[in-house]
Amino acid sequence: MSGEIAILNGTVFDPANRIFGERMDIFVKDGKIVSSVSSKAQRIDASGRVVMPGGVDIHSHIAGSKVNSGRLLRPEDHRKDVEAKTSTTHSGVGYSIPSTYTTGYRYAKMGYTTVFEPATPPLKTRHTHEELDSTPIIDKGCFPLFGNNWFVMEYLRDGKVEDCATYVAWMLKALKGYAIKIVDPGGVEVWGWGKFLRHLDEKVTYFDVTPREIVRGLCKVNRLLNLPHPIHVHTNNLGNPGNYTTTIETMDSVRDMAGGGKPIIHITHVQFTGFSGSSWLNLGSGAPEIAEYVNRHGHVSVDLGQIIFGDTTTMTADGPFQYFLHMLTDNKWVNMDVEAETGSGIVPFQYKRSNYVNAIQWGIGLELALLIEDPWRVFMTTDHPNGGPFTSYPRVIAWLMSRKARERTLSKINRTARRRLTLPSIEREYTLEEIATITRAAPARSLGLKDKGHLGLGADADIAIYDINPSNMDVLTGKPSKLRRAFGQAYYTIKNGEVVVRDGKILKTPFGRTFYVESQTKPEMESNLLRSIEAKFRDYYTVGLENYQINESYLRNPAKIICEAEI
Amino acid sequence: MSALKLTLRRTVVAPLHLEIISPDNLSGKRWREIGEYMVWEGNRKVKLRNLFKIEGEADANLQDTLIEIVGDMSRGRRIGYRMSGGVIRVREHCGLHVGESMRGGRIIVDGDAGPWLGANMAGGTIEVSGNAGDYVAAASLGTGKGMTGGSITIKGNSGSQAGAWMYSGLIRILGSSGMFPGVHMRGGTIHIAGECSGRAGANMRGGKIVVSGKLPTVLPSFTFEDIRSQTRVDKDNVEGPFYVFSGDNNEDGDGRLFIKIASNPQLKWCEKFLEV
Repeated sequence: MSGEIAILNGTVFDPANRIFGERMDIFVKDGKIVSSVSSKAQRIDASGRVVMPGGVDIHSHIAGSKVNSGRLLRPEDHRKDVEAKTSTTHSGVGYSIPSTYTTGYRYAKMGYTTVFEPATPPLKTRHTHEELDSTPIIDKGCFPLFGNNWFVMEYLRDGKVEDCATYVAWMLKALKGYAIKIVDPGGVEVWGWGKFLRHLDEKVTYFDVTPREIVRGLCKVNRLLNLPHPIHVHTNNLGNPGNYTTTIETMDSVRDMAGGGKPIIHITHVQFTGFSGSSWLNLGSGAPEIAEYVNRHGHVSVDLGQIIFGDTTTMTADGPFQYFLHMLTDNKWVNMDVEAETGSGIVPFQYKRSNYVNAIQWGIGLELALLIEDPWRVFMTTDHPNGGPFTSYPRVIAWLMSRKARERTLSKINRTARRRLTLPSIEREYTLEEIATITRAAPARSLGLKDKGHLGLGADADIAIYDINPSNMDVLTGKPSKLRRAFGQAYYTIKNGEVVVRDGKILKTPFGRTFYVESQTKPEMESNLLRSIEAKFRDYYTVGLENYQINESYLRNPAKIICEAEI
Repeated sequence: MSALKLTLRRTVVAPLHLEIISPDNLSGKRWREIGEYMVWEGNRKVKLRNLFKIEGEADANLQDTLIEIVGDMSRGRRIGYRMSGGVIRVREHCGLHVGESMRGGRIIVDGDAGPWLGANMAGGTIEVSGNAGDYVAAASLGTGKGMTGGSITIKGNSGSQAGAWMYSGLIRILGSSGMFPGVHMRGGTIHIAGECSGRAGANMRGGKIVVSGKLPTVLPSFTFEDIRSQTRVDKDNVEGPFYVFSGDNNEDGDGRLFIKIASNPQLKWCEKFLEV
C-alpha cells in the first residue's frame, strides 16, 4: 500500500458500475479507489488507453502438491522457458507450470491481480498455502476438494445435511479455504476400486450415495453456510464423448434450489464436458445445447477451460480421466490417492491443430463463450495448465474479439472438425466491456469479492491499463496480433495502490493477500462435530486432527471473509 | 577451410553456457563480431572476448567452418548445441551437454567429455579421445527421446546410462561402460568393446547392444535366443561368438543383447537351452 495515484484521461471499462468506455480519471489513495487525491499524487497519463479493474482468474492451478509434482515431472517444460534474475525479480522457469514467483510476475504483467487455485486436496492444503505465500503480487485463495470426501459422503448418505454443513464450515476454517470444490463427484473414489461412474444416479461403492446426491447435498450446504461462491463443480464423465448430457444433468440437478437471482452452481472448464456424439469417431460440439441451457437458466455460471494448441501439462483431481489420458498418450504420469479425500493425476499433453478431437475441443470453448448471451455468467479461463498456460489469455481474448483471428486459426485446424463446428457461422465479436466482464467483473462477483472486479469508490485499487486505443477498435480487431500484444503486456498494473508493472516490466513485488472464508455455525455444533470426527480421524488418517488444521499465523497475509451460517 | 581459434584466457570456475559456439552461429563471422557475443558465466554475463583470445575467422560456408577451442573447457556446457554442419575441435577436456541436439557436422574432443554428451542428438559425429560421463546420447531429463541419428565414438570409458531412450544411431565405447547402457532403448546400436558394469538394456524395447567385454549378468527379464559367430555394428563385423538375448520382457520389448562368450564364461548356463 502506498500514497496517491491519479490515472488521468483513460477510457474506463468498469461493467460492474455500468461504465462502458467513458473517458474519466481514476484516483487511488492508500490502496483504495477514492474520489480525489492531492496535487502530490503520482500522475499517470492514460489518454488513448484502456483502464480496467485488475484481472480476476477464478480457476487456475497455480499452487499445491499436484502443481509441484507436475514441476518435478517435467524438467523439459522448464528448460524451454527460463527467466533470469533481475534487480526486482527472482529467477524462475515456465512454461506450462511456472515456478511460484514467475507465476505472480506473469499474471501481473498481463494486468491480473487476483487468482484462485481451484483444487486443493484438504490434506495437502498446507502445501498449497506455502506456494500461494511465495507467489508475489497477486491476491489469491484456494478451493478445497469435497466431492469424494469420505466424511461428506457418509453424512449425505445418512441424510445429515446440517452435520455435513458443520463439517464443511469447520474444514474451510481449518484449511483456510474459500469455496466448495467438487471434482467428478464420487467417481474418483469408485475408480480407486477399479470401476467407473458413468451416470449421475450410479451408487458410489461402499458409500451408497450417488453423484447427484453429492452435488445436491453440497449445494444445500453451500446455501446453509452462506458461502460467497457457489459450488464449483467439475462434472462426471469429463473427457468422454457425449458428456454434455452429464453436464446439463448436473446443472439441472440443483435447479429446484435456485433462488435469489444468483447462480448456485458453477460448472468449471465446461469445454472439457461439452462433447456431443457417442464415440470418438462422431464426436462433436455440445456447446450449443449447453449454451442454450445456460441462457435459459439463471442458476448456472460456467468458465471456459479453453484449449490452446501446443504443449501443456494436464493436472486434475480427476484420477480416472488422467489414467485414461496416460493410456491414450503412453506418456509419463503421476497418480496419487489422497487418503479419505480425493485423488489426482498429472499427464503432459500436446493439443494439435491437426487432431480432430483437439480441434473440436478448441471450437467448443469458443462456441460456449460466443453462444452464452450473458457475459456475467461465463468466465474466461484455460483451466491453466490443463487447456493451456494462463499466459495464453491474450490469445483467447483475440479469438473472442476478432472473427478474423478465429478464421485464421480455423483455416489451420483439422478439416473434418471445421466442418462439424458451429463456430465458423458465429459472427459475434466480444466488445471491450464484455472482455472486462468475463475477465474481471463477473468472476469477482461470482467469488463474492465485493471490493474487486470494479473501480467504484472504496474498491481495492487493483487496476490494469492497456495500450489499446478504443477509438481504433475496428483496426485492432483486424489485427489480432496487436490485441494479443496489448493484453499480454499491460501498460500499467496497479496492485493495492502500488504500481507493480509499467510497460510490461515488473517494478515492485509486494505480496498479496490470501482470502479464506469463515462461516460461523453455532459453537455447540462445531464442538459436537469435533468430538464425532476425532475417532474417525484416527481411523481414516495418518495425521492427527491437531496437525490437520492450519493456523492463520501460518499464512503470510490472511484475509478472512466472515459469513453467517444458517445453522 | 579457414579456422577460428578460441583460446581460453583464464581458469573458469563457474559453469559457462557456450551454446553460441557452433558453426551455425559463427560461420562467416569475423573475430571482432564474435567477441561481442554475451554468454553466461555462472550468474553473470560476459563477452566472449573476455573469456577467449579469438583468432582467425569462421568460414562463410557452414560445412567448411572449423572452430578450434584451446584450454580446459571442463566448465563449458552445450558446445555445438544444435549444430548442423562444420567441425568443432576441443583440444582439452569439455563439460556437460557437448553436441546436445546436434543435427550434423563433427565434434572432436581430444580430452574427456562431461555427462550428456550428444544428448538428443539427431545427426553428425562425435569422437572423444578420453572418457565420457554419464548419459551419453541420452534423452534430456524429462523427455522420452534420446539419440535419433548420428554416431558417437568414445575411445575411453563411459559413465552410466549411455544411450538412454535412444531411438536410432550408433554409440561405440571402446573402453568400459557404467551401469544401464541402453536403458529404455527403442532402436539403434551400442557397442561396448570393454567391460560393462551391468543392467545392460534394462527396459529396452528395440535396438541392439553388443558387449565384447565382461557383463556380470544378464537381467532376468531377457530371454536367451541363440549363439551367433559374429554380428554387425554399422558396417563392421564384430567377431564373436556371442550369446544372443532378447528383451526386455518387462516392456514387451524386442531388443537384442549380444554378449561375447569368450569374456563371459559365467553365462555358460544358458547353452543348456540350446540342447532342448
